[in-house]
Amino acid sequence: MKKYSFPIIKNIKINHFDIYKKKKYIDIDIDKNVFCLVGANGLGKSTFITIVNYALTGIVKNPKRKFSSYGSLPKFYNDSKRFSGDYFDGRVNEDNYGLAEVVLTFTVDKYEYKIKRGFFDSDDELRTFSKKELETGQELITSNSELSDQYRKHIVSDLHLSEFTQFVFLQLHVFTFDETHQLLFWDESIMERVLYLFFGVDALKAKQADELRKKYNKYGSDARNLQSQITQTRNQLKEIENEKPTVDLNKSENIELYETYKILLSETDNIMETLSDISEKINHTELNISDFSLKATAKRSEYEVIFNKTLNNNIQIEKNPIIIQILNDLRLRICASKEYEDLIEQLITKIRSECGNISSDKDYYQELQKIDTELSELSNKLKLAEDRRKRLIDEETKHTQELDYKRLKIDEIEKDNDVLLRKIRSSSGEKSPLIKNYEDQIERLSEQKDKAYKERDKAKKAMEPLEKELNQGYIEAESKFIPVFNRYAKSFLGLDININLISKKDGVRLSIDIGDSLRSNAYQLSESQRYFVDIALRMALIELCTQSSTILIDTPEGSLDIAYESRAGKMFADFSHGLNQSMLTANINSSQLLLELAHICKNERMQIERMTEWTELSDVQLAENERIEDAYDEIEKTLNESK
Amino acid sequence: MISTAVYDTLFIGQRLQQKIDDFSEYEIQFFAYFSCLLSLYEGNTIDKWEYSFVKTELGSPFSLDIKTALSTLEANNSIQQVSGEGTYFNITGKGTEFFNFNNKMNIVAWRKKYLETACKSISLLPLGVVKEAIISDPVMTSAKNSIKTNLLEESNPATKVLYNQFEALHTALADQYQDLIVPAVVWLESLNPERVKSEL
Repeated sequence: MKKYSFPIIKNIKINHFDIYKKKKYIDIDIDKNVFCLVGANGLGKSTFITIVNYALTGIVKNPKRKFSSYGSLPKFYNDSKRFSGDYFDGRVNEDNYGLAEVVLTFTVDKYEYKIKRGFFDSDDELRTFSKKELETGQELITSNSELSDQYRKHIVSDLHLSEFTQFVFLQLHVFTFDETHQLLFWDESIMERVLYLFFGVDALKAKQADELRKKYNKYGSDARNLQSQITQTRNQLKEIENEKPTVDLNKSENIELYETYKILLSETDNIMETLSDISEKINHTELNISDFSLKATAKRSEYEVIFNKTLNNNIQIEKNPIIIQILNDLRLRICASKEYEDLIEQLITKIRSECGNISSDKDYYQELQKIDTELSELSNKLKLAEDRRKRLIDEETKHTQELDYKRLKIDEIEKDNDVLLRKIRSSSGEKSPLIKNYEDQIERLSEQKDKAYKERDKAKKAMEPLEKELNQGYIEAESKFIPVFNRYAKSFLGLDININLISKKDGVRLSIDIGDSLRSNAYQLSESQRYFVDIALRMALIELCTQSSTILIDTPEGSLDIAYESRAGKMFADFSHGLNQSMLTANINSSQLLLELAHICKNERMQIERMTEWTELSDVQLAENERIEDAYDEIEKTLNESK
Repeated sequence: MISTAVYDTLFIGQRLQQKIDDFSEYEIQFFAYFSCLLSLYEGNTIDKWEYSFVKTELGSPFSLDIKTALSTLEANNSIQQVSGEGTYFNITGKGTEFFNFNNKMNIVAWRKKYLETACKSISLLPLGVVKEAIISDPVMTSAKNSIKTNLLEESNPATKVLYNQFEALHTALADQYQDLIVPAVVWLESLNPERVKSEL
């Protein structure tokens, strides 16, 4: 059963990308199984592959970092987001930062996607995104907001994955063979994740496995580091214990020194006790200060209220603003010969209400005086409390300084006379503080180490059912997968080759079996053999587990032995049919790979794009390009030959 | 209304009335501000003064709390306008009684010396000299050139310059005078040396 549908690229437009100097607007329709971009070195072929992947994923893989350094898929995705700006900087001129963009049209399953992405848009937002059903042409994206979020959700669902980070990971590590040459077979951290995604039960389980592996590795590494610290500390302790004390305990100066030491210890204990008392007193005084301050604030407000009443008491009637207003209204009514009885009523009511408000100034004065006395008392208490706090803080500072001084003295004695102190202690059954310190440290580290191992084992335990499912999935797929892989690999290597799933405590991986020897180590195969065996693995995985795909391969002939060129061409041709597409870049100078590919695919299945039209060439590139043009003509001829 | 602003108004009014028969709002505002500066000189915080000042368009200090105090005192007949002199006041019998009562309160005790010293300065220097010196202090000078109206904000660089001047004054006088009037007069003279010479 094929689980996934991966993108098939239909069109790519690249605008204002300055390293392609001669073409401000690149627009390529891709309608064949093999698309090959041909050009001399240094013209931007690898960049082209990076642009396609950037359009699809929004990130550029940092070639200097191994996948294992990220630890998990989300971290790989998030950290790589920041790298894209650095990568494209210098490939686009400053004044084209806003204009430079890539537009990619591709199909996934029964849908056509079209996305536009700027190269320097800080918020990772797509400029445009549309998705339509291929059969009906119905547009499925109706809202223009948060396009990136919409794109991520749609593509994850249509690919049948559970996370966008899984798509990014597979696109950049399985569906792309780029100049970083990161190989699945020889990178366990990549391989295990790939296996879970292709042979595990579902993508969600693959996500769990990714998280658990991250935990397992982290706790394992923590425990190993702690063990190394424990060993180091133990060795130091052993050295100290092995030192033979050569001091004379009966010597008067040693007796004196030990006495001083004991006095200092006792004095520091006393000071610490005093400091603890002072600290308690300070806390208590601060509580009092807060209490007095709050009370004083409340009393002061009370004072202000009464004071205002005193001032407003017995305000002259002709200066009361309400009465002034009523009188003015009355004058207007009388002058206009209108009725005014209601105003007279209002005036009487107002005057009566004012009568009720009048209290004796004496009463107010008495109240004010009472509050003022209370305030004064509170103020005195507050001042006393503040003085006390200040005195206590001064005392605390003085004792702390004294304590520091005595501790320094103790440290000095312990440092200079450890052997003496140990001998005295051992004769009285006590341990030296230095040794005790080391032992405590070892105990602490051991506890942390045990905890880390427990956590690691917990992660391992949680991974067990997932590993079982992976094994089950692999065994179920084995009968189909091994022949497919064998077909690709044998067509390239010319040797019988087999692979096995190996489960080890630090992960699950695939191992290659060539002839009778188990060649799992990289050095047992030549560099080009390793590259193409790895490409064979990817092709087998893709053929087995996806309905459609585009594999991106950057200059595959680069390091290939001449003997293998046409075999590699055949391998690519075998892969590129139906809904599987290959997008290659090549410097076709003397390459047999493309000739073989062209020979098998012909014009019906293969198209070539020459970079001569894209950018200006240097003298060296021009010289190289002449040979490329000759090779190109030959390939063109092969493509046009009838089958 | 803030009780201390009412007290300060009556205190300054009473002292000015003793010296120059009556007082204006401008003079109350002015001496209240000067008193506040003297409190700062002695190390009190700005908040302790309880009410704040802004600059007027004419470049003199102004406190809304003082203005409110004056209006209320006039409304309850504690002060009255001097007949024929629209902008001048004197304190009534009722006002004197109210002032005498307040003057006994503990909560105003600490500020009396600043109010007293500010008012006393006009016994030693001509009123014009005092006024001109105060409006030449670093805070008022800076306010003249600024769109900010609040005076004596802690964050204002001019307030820091004022503190520097006070610190220099403390050092110069070595804190040897008990009476605040000495540093007050020295400071006023330092702000306006030319005018002092011509007036004396």
